[in-house]
Formats: sequence, structure tokens, C-alpha cells
Amino acid sequence: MPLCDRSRMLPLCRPSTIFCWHKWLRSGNSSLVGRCLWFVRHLIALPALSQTECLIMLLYCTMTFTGIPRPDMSFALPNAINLAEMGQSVSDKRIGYLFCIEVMPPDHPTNLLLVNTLRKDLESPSVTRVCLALDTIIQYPLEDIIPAVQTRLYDILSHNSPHVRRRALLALRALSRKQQSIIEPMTVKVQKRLRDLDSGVANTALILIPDLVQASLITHDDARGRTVALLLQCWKNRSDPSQLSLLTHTLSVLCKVGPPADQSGLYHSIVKFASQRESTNPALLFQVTKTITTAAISPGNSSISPITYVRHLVGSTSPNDKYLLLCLLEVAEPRLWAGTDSQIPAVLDAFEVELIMQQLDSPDGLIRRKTLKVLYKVEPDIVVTYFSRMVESVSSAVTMGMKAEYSLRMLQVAEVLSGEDSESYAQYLMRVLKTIEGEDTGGNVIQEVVEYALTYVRTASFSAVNGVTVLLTALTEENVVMGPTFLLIAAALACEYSKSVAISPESLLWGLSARLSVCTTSVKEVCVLAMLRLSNECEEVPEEVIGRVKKMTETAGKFLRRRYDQFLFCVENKDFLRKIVSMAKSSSLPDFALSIEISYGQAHEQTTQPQGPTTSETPSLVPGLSPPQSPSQRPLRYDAYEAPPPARRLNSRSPTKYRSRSSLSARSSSQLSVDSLSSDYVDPEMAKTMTAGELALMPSEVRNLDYSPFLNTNLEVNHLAERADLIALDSPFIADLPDPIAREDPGTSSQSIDFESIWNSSGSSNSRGWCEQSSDDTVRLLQKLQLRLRVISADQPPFKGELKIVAVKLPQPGPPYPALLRIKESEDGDESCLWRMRCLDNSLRLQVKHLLESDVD
Amino acid sequence: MQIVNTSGVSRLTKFFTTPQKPPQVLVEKIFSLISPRSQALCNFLDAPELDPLLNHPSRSGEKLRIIYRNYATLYFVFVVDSSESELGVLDLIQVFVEALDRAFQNVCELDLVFNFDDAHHILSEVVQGGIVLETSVDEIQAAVQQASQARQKSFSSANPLALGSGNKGSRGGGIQTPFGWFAGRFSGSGTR
Repeated sequence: MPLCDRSRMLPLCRPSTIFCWHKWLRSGNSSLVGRCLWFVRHLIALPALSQTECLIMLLYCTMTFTGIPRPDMSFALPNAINLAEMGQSVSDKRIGYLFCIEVMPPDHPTNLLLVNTLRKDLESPSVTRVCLALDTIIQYPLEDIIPAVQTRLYDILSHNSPHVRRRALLALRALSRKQQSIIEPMTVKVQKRLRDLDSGVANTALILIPDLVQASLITHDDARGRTVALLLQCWKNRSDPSQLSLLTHTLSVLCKVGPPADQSGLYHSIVKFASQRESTNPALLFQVTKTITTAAISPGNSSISPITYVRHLVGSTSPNDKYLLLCLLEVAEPRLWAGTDSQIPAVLDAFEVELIMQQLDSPDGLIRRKTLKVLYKVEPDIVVTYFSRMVESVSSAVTMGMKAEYSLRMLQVAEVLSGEDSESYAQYLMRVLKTIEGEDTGGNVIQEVVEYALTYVRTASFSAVNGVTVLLTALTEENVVMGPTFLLIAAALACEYSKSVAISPESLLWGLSARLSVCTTSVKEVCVLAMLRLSNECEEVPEEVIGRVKKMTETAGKFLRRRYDQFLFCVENKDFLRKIVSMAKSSSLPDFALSIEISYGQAHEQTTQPQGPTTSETPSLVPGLSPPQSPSQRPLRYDAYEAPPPARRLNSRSPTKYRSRSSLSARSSSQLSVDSLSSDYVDPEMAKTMTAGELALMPSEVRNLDYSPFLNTNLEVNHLAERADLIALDSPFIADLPDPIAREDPGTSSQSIDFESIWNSSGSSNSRGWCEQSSDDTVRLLQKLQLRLRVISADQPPFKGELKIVAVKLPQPGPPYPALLRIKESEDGDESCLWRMRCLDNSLRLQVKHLLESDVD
Repeated sequence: MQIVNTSGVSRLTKFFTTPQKPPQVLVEKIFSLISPRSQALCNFLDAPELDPLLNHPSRSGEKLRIIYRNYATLYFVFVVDSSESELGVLDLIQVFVEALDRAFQNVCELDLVFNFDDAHHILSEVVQGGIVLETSVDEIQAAVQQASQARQKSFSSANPLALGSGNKGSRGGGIQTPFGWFAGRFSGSGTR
């Protein structure tokens, strides 16, 4: 179909089309996404159409696209650069620049084309154009641009427009990150801008003060003197609301350069000012309290504690007020308010302290943690006693959900008690797990605890090696009983830290293999995977370990036997194992498991190809090894957790790069056809030829999609009269909610429910686990929950081979978010099944999850 | 910074550092953290899970924190490190929403979809390169209006024969509305 017909193309630029595409993009259907991009790609090449709108649509597509990886938009970069250069209006130029900022990677060769455009805009007499260029430099600072714009940037630090002056300061700061020497010639001007009549400019200049101090261009004393002068000026003009932001920022910078203690009177005046009941300024209040603490003002200098002014927050019911109060208490010195210093009376009464203590039971995790930190600063024994009380009350936790909640709360306390001592944290973690799991080695894994503990260890601001050593030492000791959660954490850490800790991988292997016989099936798999990973670190795997695995193979089911066989094979074929390890994205267990599946899948493909080359190291040559399945077909038997930080990766992986594509030259021909364009298009889905009929039918086709009500109602211009206030009314996008069940006729058969689309749209709330009974028994179990159940048999699509269940709460006051379950019978032939559930109703999801898990208990 | 609706659909996303993982992964992760939170919880939460996703050096001691506000069907979310004042950012979200509200006059979700380039512009008046640029709603409104006037001026000079301004259908702040866009499409004045 020729694409020169403007009358056919124009509808594609309308907002309605954006919505069509929005729906398509959300559908995750790569074919539809491909068509969207295909259209814009070709529209943009037509000189008759607005490139601005095409670029906006592409940006929208990029932002809305839910798939991975993101579609490559680099084909439009030449158009964006051209628009930034040649755009006749500021609006056009802004879109061109915005597209470059959002899409162009910093090392993209075409970014050099922007240099001249930016330079010309900086030279423009139009303030808006100058600001636009400066905005681009701030967001997209290029080292190559420095020689071209440096002089001009210094000049416009004295520009008449405060908008330009402010942005010029930020642009120079952004470029100084690329070339530090650029900041030196501006030192005097920055100091001058601190006295700028425009508070916004002064505020921006203040940002550069710590940078100048760090670069030793001004001294601490000089910086402090200038900042205090600014502080006094702001305080003088405090009636002007625009000065409050500057006041807060000045105090923040003062904390960095060292606040003088002789201004204590001013600080307390600011506390009083910021804590007025009617107009409390939380940011200013926090900053000035921090300044008082940093200045280490002795009690003699001030008879009134800053907490005195915020006592009214103690009784507030607002969670944000509670949070503010706890922030202030955390940053203020305890002796100034808690009565720990005999010379300073306590600020808060007993009932107020009691109210603060009650926050230990707050449903908000952050408020609980803040309360713990405040109490720990006042008296560590309070928190120690609280932890002991929690340990004693654990026995009341009977369900898995309660156990998880108790464990997480105890771990939060452990974090505060252990501070930056990772060994202490490890001891607390072991105590928590022993309290929760006891001597039971066959129970369920508390998934939340695994994720929480591993995340904490990985993201700790201190070295966790000592703590990990403590945990892994327990693994190597025969007499230490490890519950399933503990064993899972230890197995994961063993893989990630085996090279860092002073424990031999052989010992770790021994410890894991010794516990194989007592743990549950799902934990066994994790242990074997960890053993596989660890055996790569061993020069020679101990015979005792191999013997244990061989023994386990005799009694194992089909699935686990496959894992055991993999272990035994890899122990003998280290090269193959090394290849698997090197392929893994990180040292985490899920990545390693994925790498195994991919490696075995590739090996299987090689052996199944009639004339394909085979190597002596392909695992399929091992007798008895079952054909591998792709990772998508075979889910892990435990939930994957996030990969560890990149620093710990075994094989370095470059950060996400935008794929660069050769630029598409602007097409001048007005007789452009699909055939002529298809040659430079590589994606087969996107390259599918769109017929004229399809093009014409596009809007109506979209109306037939499941998510169309929004489209039907909102494309009416009259709808604007019913516009919803953002703060007051509901969204016009309410149809986005994935509740197609609500639109089902009560008599609709279960087969008519689009199980697959609901499943795909509920991907954000997953649960999974093993149920030690058959799928039929699982259905009977679910019937206990007073839910409306619809069962789709395993031989029916979608997800053939799995039993599908749709469970809906009865009665249902709100939108009926169903719980969708996929149940797969065990391949081992035993009475167990893997269940996976997705449900946007969190309470229903937890209800079903606990039922399925508790039954195993 | 992101704006996401209560169904998890992103309406505006802006990164000030290069993320380690695809943006959509981050959007989904952040939404999964904030969406189950009730009104009884504060608007702040720790997010150590985001460290590896955002390429944030977790061992620097600067923990990432999510600050969000919920207005009708939209969540306005900022992820900041400890060098930024979280209490200030909470106020900043209010400033941003008020600035949007003034620019679009009773802003709704629809405005952000139809004019998400303008929403980007307003955001850039509030936060620039990760630095808070302006916290005064009046100043932001003035800057947006100034840009709008410059746009009208440049449109007029670029299209001397066009009827009226290049900003039809504006309700006030100078931002083109869905109606304006429709009208522009039907009259053809907004295209070249």
C-alpha cells in the first residue's frame, strides 16, 4: 500500500490512535507492537506529516511498552536531531531535544550532531531557546560539547534572565562531572550569584558551594561565612514564601560545611517558625533540627530543646506527622529531649513516650524501624528487651503468614541491634530462624524471610562477609539443625560468597549434601543447584559428597533424579560446568539455574539435529538424562529473587545498552511504498505488510479489544464537559482495570473467560508453591474457602497440560479480582503438584496461598 | 520520577540516572511496592530492592527511598537517595501536581496522556537533571506561560498565514488540550 496518501495517514496521528496503540502496547502482543512501530517508522519518513507528532507517539510507545527488551527507537534519532536543529517553533525543538535525551545513549555517535545545534541555540537572542539548550545540556551532558559551549556558559552566568543564569549554573555543574576543571573559572561568579537578587539563582548557586569546597577552590571557612550570610538574609525575608526553600537549602549546605554554634538563637527561632501548627514546614523543621545537632550546641547555649516545639505531633493521627516526629527525634540528640542528661529535664511526658512506644506495633514498617532507632539511641536495652519479648511470643504464630510477619519484624529489630556489625546480624538471623522453624527440617520455606535477609545482606552499607561466614560456618557443622528457610538462605549465600569467605567450597558442599536426606523436595532442588555451582569452585569434589548424591538418586523421583544426574555429570565434566557458570548473568542461584537450563537446552538441540555437530561434552550423551525443557516451560520450584548487585557478578556484563541501528535517512519521495521501505526493517513481526484494509479498519479493530470502553467514551469531544478533576474524581481510565469477569454474563461458561489475558495482566501479584497432594485434592481443598470456582481442565487451552482454576470471592462488594491458579501435576508420579497463582486482590491471594501451604503442614 | 495510575499503567516516567534494568521492570517493581499500601501508612518507604535495578551503589550508605502521593487514580512517585530531603520531596510532589493543575486547569489523567510532552516540560521546570530547580508554583506557572507565549510567537512567525495562534483550545495555562488537538487535526492548522 503506498504510504503517500495523507488522508489515510492523518488518522494515525490523532489522539485516538495513541490510545489504540496504548491498548496494543499493553497487550504485550509483539505483533501489534511491531505494527505500531512500523507505522510510526514509516510515517516519520514522510515529509508531509508532522515529525513532532510522530516523535511524541514514539516516545509514548517507548514509555508504555511493557515488553522486554524495549523497542529500538534509534531509527528516529536523525529525525529528532533534525527537528532540534530545524524546528521552526520552540515546541518542535523541545520535542526534538526531548527525544534525543530520552532515547539517545551517551556514547551514541550521532550525539556529535547535537553539539552545533546546542551551540547555536545558546547564542540565540531568545531566552526560551537558550533555556531549552541549557535544559538539554543539564540532562544530557556530553564531554564533547564542553569546548564548544564553555565560554558562552561562563558569559551567560551574568545573563539578564534569572532563568538563564540559574540553568547556566546547573549546566556547568553537569559538565563538571565530565571535566572537573571547568568549574574553576566560575568560582568568582558562583560566589557573586549567591548574592543574586533572584532567590532561585542564589539557591542554585548554593548547590555548587560543596563542589567548590571539595575541589579546594574555596575554603570551609569562606563557604561557611557566605552561607551564614545568606541564611541571615533569608531569615530576614522569611515572609516571602519563595525564601523558605532557600532557607532550607542554606541549612542543608551549612550542615555540609559545618554550621557555627554561635547562631543557636537563630536556629531555635527557625525551629519555632517552622513548627507553627497552622503552617508546619516539615523539610525546614527537619533541616534546622539536624543543623542544631551537627553544630553540637551545648545545653548552656540553649535552654529549650527543638523537640519542645513539635510536641503537638506526638498525638497526631496522620502517618506522615508520625513519620516527621520520628525523623526529628532520630536526628535530635537524646539528651536534649529524653532526660538522659541529669542537667536537662525530659521534654516529653510519660504518656507521650508511651504513644511513641506504641509505634513499635505500627503496621508501617518504616515507622517501626524509625521508632526502634529512636529508642535504641535513647537506651539500647529497651530494644533488647523488646526483641526478647518478641522471641517469647512467637509461639502464638501458627499460620505461615503470621510466621512470616513475626520473622520480618524480628529481623527489623535485629538490624537496629546489630548496627553495622554483620556478625551480630548473622547471629540474630540464626536466632530468629531457630525460633520460627525450631527443629523442623521438613516444613515450608518462608519466602519473605529469604528475600528480606538476602536483600539486606546484599544492600548493606557495610561488608557482609563476616556475617556470611558465620552463617556458612553453621552449614558446615553437622550438629547444627537447619530449617528449610535457613538452608535456602545458606545455599544462596554459599553460591554468591564462596570466593569471599574463608571456608572451603568442599566444606560447603559437604554441609549441603549432608542435609539432602532430611529436607523437602523443593529445598533439595535448591541444594543440588547450589552444590552444582559450588563444585565449580572445588578442585575435586569429595567422594563422600558424590556418594551421598548417588544414594539420593536411587530413591528420587524423575525431576530430582534429573538434577542429581546433572550434578554427577558436571562433576565429571568441569569444562561444561565452567561454561554454564560463565553463562550465568550473576552468581545468584536463579541465574545459575537459568544458565543450566539454557545450556542443556542448547546441548539437546545439538544432539537432536540430524546432522548437527556434537561434542564430547554435551550432557545429552549421558545415558538416562531426560530431554531438557526450556526455562519457560519448567519453572523453578521456588520463587526467583533479585540478582545480587552487579559488583558481585562473576562475569562482567555491560550495562543495558541501547541498540544502535543505522540511521534512516529522511525520505524525500512522496511515492513511498511498503516494498521500498521493508528492506531496511529487520523485525519480522514489524515487517509484516499492513494492507490498506487493515489500515482503514485500525480504529474499529481496536474498539473490539477487551479494554475498549475507555476508547469508546473518551474519544467523544463532549466528554470534555465531564472531565474529572484529578484530585476529586475517578479516572476515565477505570476501564484499564483488568476485571473482565465483571463484564461476564452470570451464565457465561468458564471456557469463555479469557483466562490467558487475565493471567497475563495480573503479572504483578504472583505466588507459587508445591502442594503435597494431587490436583483433584487441591480443587477439593479450595472448595473449603467459600469461593466461586470455575475449573478449566488440563486438556483445554490455554496452558494445556495444566489444570486452570478461576476463584472469585462471594459476595464481592468491589471489582471481582479473581484468583487464577495453574496447577501442574508432578512429573515424578507422586501425589504432589506445582501451583501458580496470580491475583490482584491481595487478601484473596494470601487466603488461598495460606490454605495451600497450611495443608502441607 | 514516575506517574503511574492505579492499574499500574505508566503515564510519565523520567530517569535522572541511567537504570541498570529496563525501565518497565522498575515501573512494575515500584508499583508493586506502593499499590498495596493503605492510606493509614506514611508516604515514605525504604526500597533496597531498587538498588540493583537503578545501578545505585548499595554500599555507599545512601539508601534509596520511595516518596509517593496518591491523587485519585494517579500515584506520583519519586525515588531519591539520602542526599535529598525526603520531606522536601513530599512537598515537591504537591508543588508538581499544583503546577500541572494550573497549567491544565483541573488536571486529570487524560491531560497527561494527551499532553505528556507538556507534562515533561512542566517537570523540567520543577526538577532539572535530578536537582530541584523550583518549588514555587507561581514561578513554575510563570515559566510555563512564558514558554507557551514563546511557542505562540514562534508559531506565528513560522506560519504567518495561519488563523489565530498555534495554541487553539487552551483553557488557560497555555497547554494544548485534547480538544485543541482534535480541533487542530480537523482544521489541519496544527500540521505541516
